[in-house]
Amino acid sequence: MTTEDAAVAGDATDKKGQKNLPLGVVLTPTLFFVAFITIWELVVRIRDIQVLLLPAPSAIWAMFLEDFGLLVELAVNTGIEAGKGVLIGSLIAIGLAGLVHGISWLNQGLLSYSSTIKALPTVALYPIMTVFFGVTSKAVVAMVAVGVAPIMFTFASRGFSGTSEHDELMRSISANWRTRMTALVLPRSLPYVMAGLRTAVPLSIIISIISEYFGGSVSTLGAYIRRESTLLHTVQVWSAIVMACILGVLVFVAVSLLDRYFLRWHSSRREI
Amino acid sequence: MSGESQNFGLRATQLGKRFSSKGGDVQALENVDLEVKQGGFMSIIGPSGCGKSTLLRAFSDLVEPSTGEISVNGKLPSEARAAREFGVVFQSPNLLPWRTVLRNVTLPLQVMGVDRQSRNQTAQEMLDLVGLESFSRHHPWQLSGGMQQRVAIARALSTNPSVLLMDEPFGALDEITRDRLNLELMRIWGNLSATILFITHSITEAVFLSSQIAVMSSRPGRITELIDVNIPYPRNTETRDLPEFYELVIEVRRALLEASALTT
Ligand SMILES: Nc1ncnc2c1ncn2[C@@H]1O[C@H](COP(=O)(O)OP(=O)(O)OP(=O)(O)O)[C@@H](O)[C@H]1O
Ligand SMILES: [Mg+2]
Repeated sequence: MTTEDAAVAGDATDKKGQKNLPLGVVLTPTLFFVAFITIWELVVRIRDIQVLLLPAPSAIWAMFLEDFGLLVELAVNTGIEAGKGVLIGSLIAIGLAGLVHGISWLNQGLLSYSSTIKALPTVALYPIMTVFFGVTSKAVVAMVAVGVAPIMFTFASRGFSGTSEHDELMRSISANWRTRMTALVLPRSLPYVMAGLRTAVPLSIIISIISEYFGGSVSTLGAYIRRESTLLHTVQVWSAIVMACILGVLVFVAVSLLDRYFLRWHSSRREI
Repeated sequence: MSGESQNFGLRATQLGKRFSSKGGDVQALENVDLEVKQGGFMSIIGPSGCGKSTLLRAFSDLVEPSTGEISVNGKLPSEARAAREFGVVFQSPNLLPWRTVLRNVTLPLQVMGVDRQSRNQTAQEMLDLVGLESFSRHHPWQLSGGMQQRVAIARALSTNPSVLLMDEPFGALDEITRDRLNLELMRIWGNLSATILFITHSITEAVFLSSQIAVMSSRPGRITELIDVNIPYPRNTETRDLPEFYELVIEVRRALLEASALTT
């Protein structure tokens, strides 16, 4: 079993855990979170720590509410950049995996490359992106695509390489290449693509924000954080971080919902 | 092709198949002669690993014979496959889990380029035929094993093939379900007059269904005996109580024992 296989099946175990222990799974983290925030608030107040250094949670929350409209706008822009990057990176990766599947040596070569790229800190390539695209939104999108593509390639290639008794069925009914792809190969690799997206989508938010931080489109979370931190507006920076966390959670939930919808036929997703 | 072979739904002459692998060669089939007239029902019975599936897969153009000749409706298996003259029912239902029951049955028609409306209509008729008309919107996993196998039969029938190749289609089912599906298969076959090659491990099933039974021995896979089943069609539940039925069961069991004794 490869890591990709584990990732496809892994979700099932998670879900079972949730079904059996709904209370523990929800309650324990909530308690920890409340305790953490309380201690933070107390420490800041009792030790009288400067706002510049570490603002109290209550101050951050107040600022978050005050700037809510602006923060939502920033998050939407960041989300759109990340989404475009995921879309472009995934389409290229899946298309490439589809083309080279069956050409074993090429597939192997590309797989080693994508493993290597995955291990590299790709965000470091951002300055190069700005050489190609300027300090624009495009550079951020390109950076996300570069970060996402190797992950998606590994998973898609693993999915395409699968064989099953259905291959004989397809041959026995003399299916042409197109039907074989749409009726068998693509749906069969979908669990792998979804597993890839569960890793790639949260990562895309991180890459976007960091790229934006180093310069990119103006009205985004990363750019806002950089601007406010140079002005020493620590509370604003923290409220943007809160928004970034919320954005991360939202996209994760969105991917999980997509997963459940598209893979409702998959053995690990069935609710019986 | 000679005019004579046109009369045979399935024909193998001196068919041999040798699998070569690192672990050594396996002579899966040797000197197999088999003739099934158009509209005939031939069962194949034999010990596990004797080459039954290999024989069926040779007819379905999934395995290339090493020696000998083989024809489906007087054509090469590859030609017959391209002309969609046969349907295959595999040992497992082999349904696509992401497709509904209806869309599983329409798959071969989709491949043929039949438009959506008429392929849905044909598929619905096939589901009527196997008694699953109200399950078209279900997914395969929502069906029992027997129902899934009936969907697989409906799928194989959807292109109206003149030859049906069935590899232990009811092998995984309990005896009662199997008996019921045997009756259903008889009813369907009565309406279709297709040529059927049917692999089974069950002696009673073979006797109940077939017009002729081929008994095979293994290593090398050979046909050791051909037994005619002279019980008139249509067959029904009473058929199983006939004295001829018992005699044939005993005869097939003896032939099977002898074939197994040949196995080293
Ligand atoms: N693709 C293959 N490569 C190598 N050997 C094979 C292959 N397919 C079948 N064989 C060998 O050929 C022999 C016959 O196999 P086959 O599947 O036809 O048996 P069978 O009669 O259908 O058995 P069962 O009743 O268990 O299904 C076996 O010894 C098997 O190991
Ligand atoms: Mg077999």
